[in-house]
Parts: sequence; C-alpha cells; structure tokens
Amino acid sequence: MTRTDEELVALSMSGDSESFNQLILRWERPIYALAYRTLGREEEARDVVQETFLRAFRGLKNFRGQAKFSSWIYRIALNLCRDWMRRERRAPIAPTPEGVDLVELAAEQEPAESIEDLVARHDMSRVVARAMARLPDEQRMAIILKEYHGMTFQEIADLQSVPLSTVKTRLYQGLSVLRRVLQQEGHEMLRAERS
Amino acid sequence: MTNRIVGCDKERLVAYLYDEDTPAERAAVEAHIAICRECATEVSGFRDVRGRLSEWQTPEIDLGYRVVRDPVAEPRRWWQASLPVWAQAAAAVLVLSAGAGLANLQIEYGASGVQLRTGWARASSAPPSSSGVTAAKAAATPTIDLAAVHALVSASEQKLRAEFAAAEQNRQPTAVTAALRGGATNEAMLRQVRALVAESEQRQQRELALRMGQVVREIDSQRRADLVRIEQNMGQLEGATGQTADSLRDQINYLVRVSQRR
Repeated sequence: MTRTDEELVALSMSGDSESFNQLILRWERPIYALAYRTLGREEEARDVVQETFLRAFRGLKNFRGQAKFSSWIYRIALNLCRDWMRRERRAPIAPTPEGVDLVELAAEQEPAESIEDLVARHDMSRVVARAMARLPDEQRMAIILKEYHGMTFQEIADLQSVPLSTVKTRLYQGLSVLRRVLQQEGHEMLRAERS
Repeated sequence: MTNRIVGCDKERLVAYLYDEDTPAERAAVEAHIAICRECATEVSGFRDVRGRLSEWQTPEIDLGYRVVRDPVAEPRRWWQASLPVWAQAAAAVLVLSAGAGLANLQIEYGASGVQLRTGWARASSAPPSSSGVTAAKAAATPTIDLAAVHALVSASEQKLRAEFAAAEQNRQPTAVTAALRGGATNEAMLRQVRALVAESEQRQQRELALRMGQVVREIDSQRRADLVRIEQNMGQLEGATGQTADSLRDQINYLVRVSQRR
C-alpha cells in the first residue's frame, strides 16, 4: 500500500526514519532537477538535494502540515539555490555534455533513436540551457517551476512570496526573452549549417 | 462584459497559454487573438518556446540519499571500560613477568652465543656437555657478560661504518667525472658535453611546452567565464528592454483607446 506524503511525515515525526527515507526516494529526483536547472551545475545540485533533506529532517518537528510536504521542501531547496547564487555571485552555467560519448549513449537509448537524433536532441538541450541561463533568476525560477514541475500560478506565488500577477508577469517576460533568444540561436545554427 | 479583453492583456495571455483560466476568460482571449495579429503571433511563439523547453533534460544520475540514525550507545560494563596507558603498560609487564617466572626463563651468553632456556627440568633439557669441566664452566658463567656484549656492539659498529664509507665512495662519481677517469680523449669529452647540453635543451623545451599549455588553458577558462557573464548581462538587458517596450505599448494602447472613446 502506498502511503501519502502526509502519512509518511506523521510516521517520520514519531521517529520512523524509514518513512522519511521513502519521502526522500519520492522527492529527491524532482528536487535535483529543480536545483540542476536553476544552478546549471551537477555537483552543486547534488549538494542542494542533500542539504534540503537534511534540513527537512531536522525541521520535521516544526512542520505543522499547513502546507504540503512537497511545497515545504521545494521552498527549502529554492532558498538554498538563492543562497548559493547570492554567495557565489555567479551566473548559472549552461551545462555542456562534453564528456558524453554520444555513440555509447545512443546504444543505451531506445533503438528507435538514431545517433543523429540524439546529437540533435543534445544540441537542442544545450541551446535551451544557454537561453535559460540568460534570464534573471526570478524569471528563470518561475519558468522552471511552471514548465518542469507543473505548479499552478498560485503555488509559484506562494513559493516565491509574491502576488499572483507578478508570477504571470515574470512568466510573460521570461517567455518573451526566450522567444527572441531561441530565434537568434535558430538563425545562427542555420547559418552555421550552411557555411 | 467583464471577461472581454480590452486591448492586449499579457496576464490573460499567459493564463490562456497555461490553461489556467475560466471557460469564459478563455473564450474572450480566443475572440481577441482572432482579431489581434500581434497577440496571435505572441501566443504561437510562446507555444513554440514551450515545445523547445521540453527538450531540456537533466542528467540521469544515481542519488539514493538515506537518513541513517546512529545506534544508541549502551553504557559499558566496568571490564569493558578502557584503561589508561600507564595501567595497560603495568599490566603487560606483570603478565610478561609472571609468564617468564612460570616458564623458568633463563638467558645465558657464552662462547656459543646467546642461549634461552625455559622449563623446570633444566638438567634433563639442557644439551649434553662433552665434559664435566665445560659443564661446570657453563654453570659458573654469569647470565649476561656485559664486556662480551660491549665487544659485540663495537664490532658491529665498525662493520657498519666501513659499509657506509664504501657506499658513499660508490655514489660520488658523476657521468662526466667517470668519463674523465676512464682516460677519455678530448673528443669523447666534447661529445659527452654536447649530449648533456642537448638533453638540457630538450628538458627546457618540454617545460616551456607544458607552461604554454597551462597558460592557454587558463586563458580559455577565463574567456568562458567572461562569455557567461556577458550573456547574463545581455539577458538582463533584454529583459529590461522588453519590459520597457511592453509598458510603452500599454501606454500607446491606452492612448488609442482613450482617443477612440472621445
């Protein structure tokens, strides 16, 4: 029987650490994806995941269940990402899969995907990552939460502690910048292919 | 009438794009984009962007974090408690002494070297003596003869000193002096020197190449960092410009609406 997050939280609060491990198993990948896309760095994203669950475990007694468990850990993770960006004062790096052997990777993928498709997908992924890295932090976070974590405007507003209209404005502005940047990138890629 | 879009409302466009509006609001936006080419292009462009955003994958990695509680430590019994070092050393001496006493350990040094004997039946376990005189002599010999030990240590020291001196002599000659001692001619000596100079040059060239490679790598990483920073600034600039353009467009739309009303 699959337990809900709330049930697992209640069991964890009574000292059952195995229940908390089930919560980690359920949420570590989304939190990693959030941190990775926000920071653009694999190692730092891992650190954020570890620190998020450590803080959640230590703060369990303060969790009153007013918000969902997922919202709570998303908030912890986002705050950690913000702290990291503020501390490092760095722009997020667009991850480039330079160390990836595409031939090997193609063999691991489903057989329908050719090496050409795989290369194209990697190029596209890199282009999108680069374009996202150019957005201001709050716009990038709003788009990540909406596009990759399927949050509602209200959930994003609660997480970012801003009014609903601000979330919509951030999404609109972020999408506008991405549209321009991706169009430019598309033109440049076409030009490169022709030359 | 409240759901009707008056002008181009970007918030409603975003709500429409993400399907987070009421059916009435949706119908209003659809009616608007049917007549407003600018908003229709925008919605279509945003849909393309969303399609491309789905291409951004995260790496497949093993995370597998777990919370592990430390087992609660049980209080130790008195015999499990660790003793201080002095007490451990005293205990070791006691045990060894008791063991030696029980085994009747005896150390003797004679002409045949150091001898260790254990056991109570000494007469029967001792090696048979060739004569009664030697047996009596062995019995009269003190357990450890200090003068003999001193002589043995002095002999070992001298031997070690001689070996160290020999090793030092073997190590000193270099390649050049070896060639000279061998009675080599001037030409041979010149060849030797040339070879040494050539080797030195090669070593310097290798070091130079290494340094150059290092400098190139440093410049490259700095360039990458600068590019990222420039891209970030450009993005922020574009965001700000877009925002200004949006507000200008809103103002123009407002003026047009007001002028139309009048």
